[in-house]
Amino acid sequence: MEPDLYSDCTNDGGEELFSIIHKIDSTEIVYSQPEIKYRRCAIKIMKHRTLRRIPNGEQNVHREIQLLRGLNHKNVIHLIEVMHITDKQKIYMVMDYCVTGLQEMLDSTSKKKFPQWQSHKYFLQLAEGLEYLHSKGVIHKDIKPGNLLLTTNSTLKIIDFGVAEQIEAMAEDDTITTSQGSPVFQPPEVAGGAEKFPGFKVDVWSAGVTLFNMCSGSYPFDGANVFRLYESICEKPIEIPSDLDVTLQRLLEGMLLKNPYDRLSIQEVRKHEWCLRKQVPNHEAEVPLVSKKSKGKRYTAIDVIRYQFYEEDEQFSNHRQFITEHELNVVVAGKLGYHFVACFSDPRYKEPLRTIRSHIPPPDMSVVTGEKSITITYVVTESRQREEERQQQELTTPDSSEDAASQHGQILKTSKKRKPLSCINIKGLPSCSQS
Amino acid sequence: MLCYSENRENCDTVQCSGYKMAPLEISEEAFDKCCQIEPICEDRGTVWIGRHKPSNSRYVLKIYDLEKCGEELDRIKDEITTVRQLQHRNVIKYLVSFISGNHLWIVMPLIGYTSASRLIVSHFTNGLPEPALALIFKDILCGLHYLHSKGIIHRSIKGTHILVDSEGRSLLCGFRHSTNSILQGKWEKRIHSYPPEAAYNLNWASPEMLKQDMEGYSEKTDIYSLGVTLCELGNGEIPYCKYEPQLILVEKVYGRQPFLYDMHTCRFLFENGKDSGVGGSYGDCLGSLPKAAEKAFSASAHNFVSKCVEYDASARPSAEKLFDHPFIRQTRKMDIKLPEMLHPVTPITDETQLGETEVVNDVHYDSQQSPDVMWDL
Repeated sequence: MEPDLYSDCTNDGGEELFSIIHKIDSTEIVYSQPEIKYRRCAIKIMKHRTLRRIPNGEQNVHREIQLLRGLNHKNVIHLIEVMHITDKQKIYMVMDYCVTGLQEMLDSTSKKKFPQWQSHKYFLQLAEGLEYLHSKGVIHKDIKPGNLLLTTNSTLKIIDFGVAEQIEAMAEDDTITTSQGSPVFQPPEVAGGAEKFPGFKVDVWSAGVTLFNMCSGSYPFDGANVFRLYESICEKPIEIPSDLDVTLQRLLEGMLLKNPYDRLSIQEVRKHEWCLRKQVPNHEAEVPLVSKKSKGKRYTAIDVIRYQFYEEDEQFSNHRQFITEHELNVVVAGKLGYHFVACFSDPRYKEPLRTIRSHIPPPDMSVVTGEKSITITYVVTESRQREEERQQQELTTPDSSEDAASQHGQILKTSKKRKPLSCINIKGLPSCSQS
Repeated sequence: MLCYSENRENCDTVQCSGYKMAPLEISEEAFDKCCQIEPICEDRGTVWIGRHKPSNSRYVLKIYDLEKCGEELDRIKDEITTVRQLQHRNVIKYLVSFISGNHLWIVMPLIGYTSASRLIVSHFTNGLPEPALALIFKDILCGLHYLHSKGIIHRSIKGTHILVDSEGRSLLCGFRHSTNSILQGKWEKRIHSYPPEAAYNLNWASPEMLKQDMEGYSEKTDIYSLGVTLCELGNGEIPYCKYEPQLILVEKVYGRQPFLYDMHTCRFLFENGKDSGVGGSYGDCLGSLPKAAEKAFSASAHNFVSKCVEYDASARPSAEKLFDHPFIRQTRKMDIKLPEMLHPVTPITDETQLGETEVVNDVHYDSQQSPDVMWDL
């Protein structure tokens, strides 16, 4: 079964294509940069073992991949590559990198809603993406704020085609028989258990609920449990908050009509007055793009585990120097001494800028601005045992840094004061313990 | 759709800031391919020096094989349209472009000294002298300021994209990676699009562009690349050229900056000799180091670089401000022209005997450098 499913995916050695920079979610997604292009992307990693436990898991994933392969639109997530690594029994789906989702942004606000112009901005993109999907015969079936993500430049991307369905090329219309999306976003025909219903209208209803949610901060229908909820969806007349824009109220009414055949199509939605009208952005009330993962930071940047140097001179403590994970691996693998003495000095170029005594090749020298020279001492120990070995070595042979100091005279004078760096302990690396 | 040729009436009076030309025939037959210089774009095309038969003058021909281009073609098209819209003495000019059979021809004026990188490879292996750098960068800043005023971000300023003509004037080229900050009629302050061929320009790319976060980048990214380019031309070696791309990326994001190697910045290395510790660490990254001790860049040159490669993009001066920098200002007092400084390298002119020209023949460059290193016009 497996070789058939993934025969067209990149196999073996695929892992070398990308390197994981930062883990965001312990289970599923990591950021990465494919080596070839250095573009930031998201990778969804799935284990075969986990998939087998889910009914139809493998088939669903395979279907999602096939579906995504045929799609190319700026408001639909783009599947860059699929890698299937047999050794690891994992599937890697490389996709566009998104910063945050609408649901996260809604949760970050107190009223759980966006200002109207911001909803308008996102809804237009959603409608455009949906129109594209429908033109391709794809019914998403699970439109909700949680499945709408934003990229770095605030472009909306529709994600998660796990329950999506592609209508057969020869089908007469969009009639479908099942839908498995989130209950709150289900239309009455699904809630009521209709046998057949037009598929595209399911997405229109869900998009309507999404818009309702973004503008009002609540859901049009509520229920204590799924049964009650479905009952309310089928029978309760829609109540649209009267404080919303009148044209918006009419659009929501049109999108949330109980009868799917009366409901607006996505083309009609796009031509609706509210969508066509320009909204004036008010940037003060804008809900910023902040995600949980960025921990309150305004901008989510590439993150590498940091190794901070010990700095003797506090005056320069804002000059943070980092050694990267890559370098640390070199250190640990090097099985040599772990000295790294650096001397930064006057930028007026009278004195050497930086002296490094190390077995780690530093990537390059850099100009550090500052008046006084500072010394940075850095010691990494692989284990306590190794540290002891190193100390013994120091006793028998002259200390390499002392050696350097004697050569440089006054330059490294401060280096004698150096203290060992406190621990660097990182998960996933061979035991690094406190020195 | 693919025809970029200008009307013949227009071609009859092709004149571009200083180049006086006879009317160009827009056909393959009118040109004699004299001498192939370099394959470009991973063999998708080649650069030739060609003779225009009717006028008997030489031009540079860039010929792409359309069948090999694929997606690249869109970028080449964009490049041609961009360059066509520009008119500045320090920006490359495409005289004519046309389709002939399976090939896309782009005709450019002959540029005597070819690219600045070529100067380094062919003669100034230890870097160009500072006055020459100042003259080149003065011109480049001029061109860059023009581009930025038009909303164009070059995104791949590097030695190979700086051309020096036989009169000593420098021109910017390589607009394949450029982007426009005017999107849908709006001047965007922040650009987020990531260049599709960023790996080629990784050594020059600015940290904010590589970070790809929500902050985006602006035209200041070009200023950073300019600083790296100055290091490249001054040192005779591309900064970080021996490092694997992944490391370059991470180090840049964490603010490592390149600088000019000279007796001030590298002195300790020579006092120390090339001994195990330090030399061992640097030996592989500073190929041109041994000779660096004989050079001395002025403080203003060092300052120019450090200002350009400032980590915080907003702290970097604009192209216009850099024009007033002492490093550039020193050119005002110079009475010596660039061609004299570049002696003994001779420019290719209409009279040069091709095939015997040293510059064209010895194509030695580091294979580790990007494949389109020499004539990525």
